[in-house]
Order: sequence, then C-alpha cells, then structure tokens
Amino acid sequence: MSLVEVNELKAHFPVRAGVLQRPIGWVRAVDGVSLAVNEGETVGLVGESGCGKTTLGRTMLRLIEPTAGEIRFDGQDITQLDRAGMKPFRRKAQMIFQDPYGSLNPRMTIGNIIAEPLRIHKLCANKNGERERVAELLRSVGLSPEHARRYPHEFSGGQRQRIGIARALAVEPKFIICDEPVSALDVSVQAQIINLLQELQEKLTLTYLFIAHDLAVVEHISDRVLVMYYGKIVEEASAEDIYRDPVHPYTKALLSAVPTVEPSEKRPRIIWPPLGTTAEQARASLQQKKLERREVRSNHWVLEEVA
Amino acid sequence: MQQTIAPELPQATPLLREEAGGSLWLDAWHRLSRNKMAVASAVILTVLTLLSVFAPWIAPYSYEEQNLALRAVPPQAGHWLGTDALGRDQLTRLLYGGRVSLMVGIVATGVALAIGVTYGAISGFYGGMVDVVMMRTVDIIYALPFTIFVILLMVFFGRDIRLLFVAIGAVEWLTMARIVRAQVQALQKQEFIEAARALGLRRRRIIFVHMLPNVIGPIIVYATLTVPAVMLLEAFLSFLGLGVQPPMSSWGLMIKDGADRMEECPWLLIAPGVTLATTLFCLNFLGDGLRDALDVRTSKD
Amino acid sequence: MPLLTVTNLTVYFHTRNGVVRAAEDVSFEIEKGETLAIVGESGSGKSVTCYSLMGLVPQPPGRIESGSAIFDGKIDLLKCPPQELNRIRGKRMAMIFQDPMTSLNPYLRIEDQVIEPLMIHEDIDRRDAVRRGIHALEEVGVPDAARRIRSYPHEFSGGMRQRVMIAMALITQPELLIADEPTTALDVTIQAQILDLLKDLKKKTRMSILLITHNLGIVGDLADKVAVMYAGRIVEQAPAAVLLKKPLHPYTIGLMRSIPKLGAHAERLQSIPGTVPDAARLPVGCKFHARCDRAQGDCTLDPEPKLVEADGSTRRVRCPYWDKPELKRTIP
Repeated sequence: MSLVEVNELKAHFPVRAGVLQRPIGWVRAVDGVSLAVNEGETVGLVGESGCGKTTLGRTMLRLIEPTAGEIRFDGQDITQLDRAGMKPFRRKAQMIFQDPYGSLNPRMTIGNIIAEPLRIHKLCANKNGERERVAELLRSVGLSPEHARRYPHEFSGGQRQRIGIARALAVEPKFIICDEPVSALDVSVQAQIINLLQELQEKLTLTYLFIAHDLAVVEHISDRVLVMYYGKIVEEASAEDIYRDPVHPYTKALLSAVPTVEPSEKRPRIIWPPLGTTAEQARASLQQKKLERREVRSNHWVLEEVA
Repeated sequence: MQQTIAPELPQATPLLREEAGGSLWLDAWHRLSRNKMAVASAVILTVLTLLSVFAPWIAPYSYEEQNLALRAVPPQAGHWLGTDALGRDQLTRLLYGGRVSLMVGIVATGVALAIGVTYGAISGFYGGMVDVVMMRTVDIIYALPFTIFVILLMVFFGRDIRLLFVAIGAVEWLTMARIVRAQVQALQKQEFIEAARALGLRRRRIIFVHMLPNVIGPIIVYATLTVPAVMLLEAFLSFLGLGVQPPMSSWGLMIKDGADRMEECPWLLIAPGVTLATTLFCLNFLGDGLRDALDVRTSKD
Repeated sequence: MPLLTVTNLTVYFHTRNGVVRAAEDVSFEIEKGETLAIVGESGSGKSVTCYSLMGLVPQPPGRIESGSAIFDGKIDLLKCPPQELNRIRGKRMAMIFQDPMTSLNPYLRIEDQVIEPLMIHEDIDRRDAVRRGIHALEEVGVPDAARRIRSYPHEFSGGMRQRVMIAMALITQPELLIADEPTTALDVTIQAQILDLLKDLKKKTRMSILLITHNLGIVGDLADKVAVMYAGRIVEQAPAAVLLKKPLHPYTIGLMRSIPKLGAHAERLQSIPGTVPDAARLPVGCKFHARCDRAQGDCTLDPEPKLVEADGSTRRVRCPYWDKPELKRTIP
C-alpha cells in the first residue's frame, strides 16, 4: 500500500467578473490527477510554469481545498477531515518552500521558527528539551545551534532553505513535499541542498514528492518522474525511463529543449505545441478530448486520447 | 556524521554579519536615530508633551483665572503670551490646552488603532464574502459626513469631551482598517504564512503571531500620522463650537478666539497657531522618519 | 582590432557597512562577431561588470575605481562624457535584461517602446520607424506582428516579452549586445526558442554578444569564449569548448561537478562546501581558498594569485596549482 495516494484530484478556480462576481469560467489548475508515492521513494513532479504542479503540492496538503477527488495518507482519506481531524496529519506530512526569502517570518528568531511546531504539537516536555531538540535539528541541516538567536535576514539563501528544512523536520514527518526547493538558489548551493535532502532521506526514512521545473535536478533525485501539463499528468515512468525513452510528445519536447554542455548529447528538437497550434489550442484539446492513462511500457504510463 | 551532511567549513562563516545583528527593530532604531529631522521632531514633541503634562505645576496661573484689569493685553511681564478678552493668561491656557489636544490626539488614535487593526486583520485574513461585506461597510461609513455625525452625537449625548474621543476615533479607524487589510492580504501570499498553515497553526495564532508583527511597521507609521489629523479635527470641531467648551481650553478653541480677534489681538492667534502647527509638523516628520526606518527590505544576495 | 577591450575594471560600492568590492581588476576582449559568456553565481561581479559598461551603476554608492572599456578602439565607455555615451548606448551597444515581466513599461504600447530607440538615435519619421518595428518583431518571431505591435505588454507571455525586448535591442542594429541572464526567468521550452533566436541573429548580423549566465549548458550552446568570475574576479578564461571539456580552476571544476546532468545517474552531486564570501569582507589571499579542495598554505596569504597563461595561449587561470589536480588540501 502506498504511503500517499491521490485519486482524480481536481482543483479548479473560478474566474469571476461583474458586479456580483459571478464565475464566468474556470482555471483548471489540477485537472484529474492520480498518483501514488511509496514509502521511502522520491517521486519527481516536473512541468513548466502554469502546469499546476505547485497547486497540486498544496492541494495534497490541503493548503488549497480540492474541488474533487480524494487524498489518502497511510490508507486514511484526509480529503474531508475538519481542522481537528487534520491536526495529526500535519505531523506526518510537511512542505519545504521555494522562496528562501519569503518562507521564514522575518520577525522571529530562527530558534523560535523551528521551536514553534514543537510547541504547537507539544513534542517537548520542557524548555530544556525544546532547546535540545532545536539544537539537534539545526545540526542535522548543517547549521550551528548558536544560530538560533539570529534572525532570517542574517542568513544567505542556502542557509534559509536549511532552516526551512529544519522546521519541516521538527514534527518528524514521514512525507515531505519539496516545492522547488532549490530553484531560487545559486548553482553551487543547489548541490549542497540536494545532497542534504538525500542524506536526510536516508537517515530518517523520508518520502519525498519533489516538484521542480529543472529536468536534470528532478531526474537526479527521483526514483520515478511524473510530467505535468495543464493540470494533467501526461507521462509517468522511472527516472531512467523518462530520460532514455520518453513517449509523450510534450516530454520529448521538454527533454530536447534542455541546453546541453556536451554537443554530442544533443537531441533533435521537438517543438511543442506542434507547429500550427497555439498553446491555447493545445490546452483546449487536452481538456476537452477524452483521455485515458495507458501503460505503454513496463511501469511506464502515458496519457493518450481514447482511440 | 556531521561531516557527511554538507558541512559548513568553519572559517567560511556564512553569516552576513558577524555581530549578533538583532532584530529588525534594532535596525530600524539605528536608522531612525540617524534621521536628524525625525530626532529633532521627537525631541520637540517630548518637550511639548512634558510641558503639557506638568501644566498644573508650571503654569503661572489657573486656566480660568480672570484678571479683568488686564484684559486683552499683548505679551508683557507677568503674561508672556498676553491675555485674552476675559483677562485669562494665554500661556497658562496654552499649556492646559496642550493637555486636551494631545490627549485627544493620543486617545482617539488609540481607539482608531484598536478598532481598525482588528477589523482590517480579520477582513484581510478571511477574505471572500467576509471581506467583501466588511469592506463595503467601511465604504458606506466613509461616505457619511463627519460633521453631521458629530453634531448628532452631541445632540443625543450632550456636550461631553469624552464624546469627542469616541466621535473622532470612530471615524479614523476606517483608514487604519483599509491599510491593515491591504498589508494582511499581501502577507497572505508569503510562503511563511503557508508554512504556518502547513504546520497546523490555528488561525488566531497565525494572525497575531505571524501577521501582525509584520504589519506593525505601517501601523505605527500611520498612527503617528493619524495623531495630527485627529488634533486638527478637534481644532476644527472646537472652532465650530462643537468640541471643547470654555472655560476649558484647547488649542483649537484658542485658535478660534484668536481668529475672531485677529486684527486687534494678533497674539491670541499666533501662539496657539504656531504651537499647533509645530506639533503637526513634528508628528509628520516623525511619521516619515518611522516609515523610512521601518521600511526594511530584508536583504538580497 | 577587438570591438570591446575591457582592462582592469574595478568597481567598489561604498556603503555604510563597508566597502563592497564588487569587481576587481576585470579584463577581457570581445572581437567583432564573437560571443563572450561571463559565468558566475551571485556575488561574482558579473552583473556589475556589464552594468558599468552601460553606465548603469549608480555612483554613489558605486564607484568605478579604475579601468577602461575601449569601444571600437576609440571611446572609453567609462570615461567619456554622458552625451557621447548616450550616442552609443541604445544604438551601437544594447542590453537585454533578465526579467521580461518588469523590463517593459506596462503603460505604453509595444509600438511606442520598440520604435523608441529609432526615434532617439536616427533621423526617421514615425511611419518608417513603425515599419521597421514590425519588421524587427517579425525577425524575432512574434506572430502577426503588424497587428500585435499595437498591444500592451500585459497581453504578451513571458517568452513573447523577451522577444520584444530583443527586438527593441536589435532595432538599431547594434554592434554589441549585452544579455543579462536573458533566459533564466523563462520556461525551458521558451528558453530553447530564445537561444535559437540568438544563434540565428548571431549568424545573420555578425553581432558581438556579451552574455551573462550561470547556466553552463547555454554557454556550450552559444558562446565562443568564456570567463568565469568568482568574488569579483575572473578566475578562468578560455574558449568555450575547451573550458567545458577541461576546466582548470578548482572553482570551475567544482561548479561543473555540482550541476546535475541529464542521464548522469550520479549517486550524489559533488558540492562545493561553504558559501560565497561576503564582498564587503573578502578573505586574504586567494578568495576561493576557504572552499578549495587543493588549497595550500600560500593560498591564504596576500598577494592573491594572478591570472596566468595555462595550457596554451588562449587560456588563463587564476591559480598557481592549476596543473596539479591531484593536490590535496593542506590547510585546516
């Protein structure tokens, strides 16, 4: 049984107009996504801006309310739970955010930022225990316990991401959604954070959903990769297979667009949407046609039009 | 085990500042103290406030004491700012008037703050229909003519100075609410708020622990700019005869008397006018200085 | 004769917290038709270098402490009077920026913005200018240019806006294009299209390009020469293909190792430990010694290493141990 399971999840946002703010249309940010993440694995979610990957991550944690579909965690349906019911879930699943500058409260010391989840969930018996735990968390992400007294603006981007990771780890989650955790960082710092995430995964048996737009990063860290386009998962396979043998034309287009250092690795460029169609038309076609998820190779699924 | 987890080499101390920088408040304090106009304004305001607070001890006369022999005399020994038509010492009335004007300024602003901040925070945080209804209400109240509102209050509740506080506070909270709501809405999009929700924090905690401290900057600034507005409002009402009643004095009342006799007794207008103007200028400069000092663009690379 | 010769460019920022040495002793040349890529992370000084060529560094608090930037063998961009610089900026030298969302004026139509350089620099009437504007938009691949030139920026997507910016920059047929991370903010498929466009234009116009980027893949695709910057200094210079195949400076090597490559299947990335030093408080000696895997005792002492020829006359490296990759770090 998977740790996390999502079935036909939808998150549609109304576009309102007029004096009475009536909905005149819908933005189908997440449009019928199903996926499963097994314990201990890293599932990569890749796509370009506007594809809905960020919305999907937030909807899975119910930071955005789903419009339809179900989310199962450890077998339990969490889609309809109320606030009180959600609280234990909040300890099991956490998120690491993209913006190192916006993801920490500038008015709190980082010690307090990390201690807050400990206090909310009453994880420490007393102040001493709390201080110990904060120190331990800081050390585990490569920072020094003395830094607890400082404020976020005294740290670099990479360090702030580490603080964000420490905060997420405070509640001892089993599942962490990493929403573009390295996109805003310098290249050399990205490697540090990616390595840190992998080491923590091994040490603490974590399960990741890794959302990013950088194909190389996703392929490096993931066991399986999902390719998202206009709210739908168009291809799903192991990281190796996606790279070696992409099937959906959009995936092929994405891979062919990555600039390579080695000229010999160049792929023939695939244009998407196909010449003659606009992005609008591609989206409309995706949303209107009848589609099904077909296993085209072993454990390799593609969204196709029903013949 | 630490070695394998992306070690920070000791000498490449990564912090952007060696000294424990301290909070953004400390930063703001340093910035403010470097702003000469703001500091000067703060000093002047403090002096004026102290003079007013200690008025009963330093005023040479009582504010209602009339010396009919020395009616409407220009500044001279014994009456440094002259006397008014009833022989009351202007300096005394100025000091006592300061108590009223400053108190109105602070109390009414306090009322406006309390109501406005809560209202705006709730409206901004909850959004949706709640926000729409709350803000349309603000719009409607905004449209009501203030003077008529005060007159109605006076008619129904009599001429009590405390009504003045209520009336003014009840009107000034509107802008404060709008400002706080805008700030809160901007903050909603910040990821640290989402992180707080992901951690399972209750809404009340998110508003008071995470949002408001980040909104306090603009609130403080707006508050220092509201005080002069309130004082002006009081002066205006007193000028119309709706505010403070004689024999009590306020700067507004004194300006009214002075304006009535501008030609024969210019000193009656100059002293309170200059004092009120100075106070308003100082509050504005201080407000500007606070805004610049608190406008922290948390660092970039 | 090179189109642009930059010699010993040094730019400091005099701030309340000290002197920020943003760029130190930067020298490079760009020939006509050549593309030079400057690679670096934040704090490397790459942006400051290029901004000072265009006169866009605010002085104060910035100050060009020394150096020259000779354009076309005749004019020193850093020292010439403003009127002269204005005759070059926008006409012979153009710049495109990173964020397409904010680099166009949202209140003006595309038409007004695209023809502006023409109206300023050439004696041309508006109708001709608009015609050239439409042509420029077509050149950069904006579909239905004649109609869309009347649109406002918000009606265009990020990729389209970037194309508009390129059209604006190229409309006066400049000899040098400075591109500051032109594709960083774009999706990868759009990025590919913009890169193709730039390659195309390079071929057609023999324009020189000074490209700022942190993406080594783009360097391989577009650049003839590369200069790698770290903490305000150039640490390695070489022809692009050569550098990508065999980097010599420990920083360049570390950088290339820390980037995940598609299909590489590495277990872990090899990250460079530590972080970029604070430009207001740079360490003594080699600025990279704190993070270098082959740093020796003398690396911690002044004077810092100079750029030396390495492996042929077209390469320069700022490291005395560039030819000893097997060396191990001997300082704590």
